[in-house]
Amino acid sequence: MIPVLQTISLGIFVFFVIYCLATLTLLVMSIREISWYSRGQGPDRGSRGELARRPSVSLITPAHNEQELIVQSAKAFLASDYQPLEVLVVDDGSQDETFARLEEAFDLVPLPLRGRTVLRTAPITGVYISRTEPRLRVVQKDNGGKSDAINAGVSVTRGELVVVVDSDSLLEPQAITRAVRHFEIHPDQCMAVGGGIRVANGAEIVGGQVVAPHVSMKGIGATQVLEYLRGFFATRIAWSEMNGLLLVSGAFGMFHRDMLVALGGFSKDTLGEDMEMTMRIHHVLRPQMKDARVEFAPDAVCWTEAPSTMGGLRNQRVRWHTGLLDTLRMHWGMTCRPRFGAAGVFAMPYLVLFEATEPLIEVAGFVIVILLVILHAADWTYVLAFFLIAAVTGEVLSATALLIEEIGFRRYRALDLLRLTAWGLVESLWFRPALAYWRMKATVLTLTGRRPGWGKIQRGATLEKPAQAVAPLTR
Amino acid sequence: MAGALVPLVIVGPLRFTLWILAGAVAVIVVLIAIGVSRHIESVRADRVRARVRDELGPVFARFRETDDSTHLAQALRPAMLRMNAARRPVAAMMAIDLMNEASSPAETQALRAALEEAGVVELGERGTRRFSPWRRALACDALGKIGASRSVPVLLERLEDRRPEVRMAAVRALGDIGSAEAVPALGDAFLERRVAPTDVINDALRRIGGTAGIVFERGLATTDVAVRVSSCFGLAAVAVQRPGCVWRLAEVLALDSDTRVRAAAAAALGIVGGDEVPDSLLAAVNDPEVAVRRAAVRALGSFDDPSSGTTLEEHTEDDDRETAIRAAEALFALAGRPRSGAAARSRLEASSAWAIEYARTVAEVSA
Repeated sequence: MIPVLQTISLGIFVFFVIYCLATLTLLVMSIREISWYSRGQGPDRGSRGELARRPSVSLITPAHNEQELIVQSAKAFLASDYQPLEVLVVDDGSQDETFARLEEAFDLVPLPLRGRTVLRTAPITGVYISRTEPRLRVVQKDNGGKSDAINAGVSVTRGELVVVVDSDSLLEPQAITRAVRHFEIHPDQCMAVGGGIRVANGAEIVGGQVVAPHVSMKGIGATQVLEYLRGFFATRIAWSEMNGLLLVSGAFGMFHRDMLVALGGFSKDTLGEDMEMTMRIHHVLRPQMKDARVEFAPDAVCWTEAPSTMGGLRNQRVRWHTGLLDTLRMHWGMTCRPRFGAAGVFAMPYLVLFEATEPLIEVAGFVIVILLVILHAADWTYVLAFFLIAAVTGEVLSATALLIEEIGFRRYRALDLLRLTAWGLVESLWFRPALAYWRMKATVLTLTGRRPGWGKIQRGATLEKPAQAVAPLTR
Repeated sequence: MAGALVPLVIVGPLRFTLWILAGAVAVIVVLIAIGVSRHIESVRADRVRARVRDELGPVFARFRETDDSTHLAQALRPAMLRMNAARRPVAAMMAIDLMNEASSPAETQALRAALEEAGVVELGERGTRRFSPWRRALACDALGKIGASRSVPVLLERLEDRRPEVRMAAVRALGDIGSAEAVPALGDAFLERRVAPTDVINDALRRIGGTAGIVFERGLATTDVAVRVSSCFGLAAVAVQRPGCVWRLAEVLALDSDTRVRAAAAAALGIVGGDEVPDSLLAAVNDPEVAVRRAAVRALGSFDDPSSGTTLEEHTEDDDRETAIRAAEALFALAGRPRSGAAARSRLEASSAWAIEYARTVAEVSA
């Protein structure tokens, strides 16, 4: 029994080292790419005029019971410097005053809209245009969940490109322009672009814009800033370079509208609709279009309020992990398949090994180490070494991510960077174990068929004809 | 055997741990050192910028007051020669920014002459051969912003740079300069889809204009769909210089087998517009591909031709909602034109199509 446990613990140790090396490799690849941004050489450099085609963009923001923030969010989205832009707020069957507040603030007029929509959604009860801000449209529909709301928006919208933004997110005015640049440069290859998501906790916000991105004094906020910089920001630059990016975040993602329609819209069968759509792009399009690309625009920034309580963080992470497992199940066929390029050969195995199964291995590691101590097969030095390795190698990753941030973007003050470094040293003691536990819980919930949810999801009667097949992409 | 392995299994990681810990701590120290040095470097760069601003501020201020480019050149050159290698590019960029803020072409020309006389162009040309790719790219950008036509051969060399970012910067710079000398090289790159993305080269050719139109006409005859699509838009952009392009685009719309190219040709015809709708554009509104229909009905609104009114009215009831709305919008566009306006207005008044009601509401709100 003891030799088995010891061998397993060694295996877990080796797994952890491999994880750190793989992630470090991604971070080092990112440094090379990010140095271009630091010299003002990002994709939008030298954009003095327009390219031959400037695509129209529709920003879709689904809103469900968002009466407090929705007017401010809509105004912030309309402050974008990109033209031509329309902003579409989809009121997904709110029971509060979401629609009433929009109507009052923007003087809405109903638009006659008939004909079939291209995606199957819950019934759309009205489409409105604002008298005071004609670029704003509001779609009123029965509740159907986030994916359904986005699909309704896609059906009603007219832009060539669709930007999906969470209604509680803050978009920097240049964000859309910077993301569109990727489509303008590679109009035939670029299918989707993910924006850089940053944590707004602790930041100074004026008029819907982050004016001073300070790091929260609270550990939960600061550690999430670090986590986003490391896991959701720095590594994506490398995945994007390899064309293996498997997640265009639902908080801020840009897609070809025709492609979304051709792929049947966002899936309502998963909580990870953003990741599912990104994987579907690779899964369906890559075999047909070898050069189809999903890119990451780190300088197109969207600020999001991260959970500020452990309860909120738990719910979010359980939901995310459930979504990840759903998505992996749906697109399992891509794993290790060269026809899907880096997405199949590198990104999928990374996701399976280090995201999906890592929590199980991490929790097992903790349990086995404790068991070995109880069974007197290892002493406390071993335990200490185990945790020290975890903490110090974790800090290597954090320090690299912070270096990328400092080289490429310089958003934070020196004091904030020091604070992040300090929180990085102790995150292995509380944050990582908590995450591992919640993700393991999500795995158990998924395996036993008890899934968390966004809330009440109703499917309305089908009004519209769904897309039947993947149509050729046109512009 | 297993018993003998146990101590190895336990002791092995422990010994290994020390090495890993030492290595990891060393890596952290190095990373922090790099971070700190980067921070110091950027603070120093800010100081350099401030010093250069202090030094050149009065020179630029005097130029703004007097428009005296001779004095600017005379003052700029010695000031820049006094600067070290770190400050000179900063000064050059400041001067280029000043040029971008120029209020008239004459002022731009005067500043350009002053910059050339002050040696900024030589500095940029030397920069295109630097080791760091970002320095090469920045130098190309700078030459483009200055509009240094004498630097075209240097920039043409950079079209073969090993880094795509530098090649793209060189293409953009050639577009900024607008010299016809660059057309053959850019044209080849465009038609063969190399050097830089198609639309970036298209943009450069479009800004050069003139003979660049020939490249787009050749592009329409290639087998590469992306080049044909891009050529349609390129040809539309230089239509003023090449009036015959409408008929070439109409021909592509009628004959090309690819939906994307036909849709691009229809959209390009819409950009060009005119008085007489080509027959192929009228026919394209009944194309089986919805993308072509959408582009075609929108394009009809750009032609002041009464013959398209009936077709547009029919398509306000199109099965595809976007086509219906675009047809209604095109009818509203016709309503404001001299030849087809009266007929279009009467059609709009008589029609009860929902798409027309939609377009009317949007037009009223937008007004």
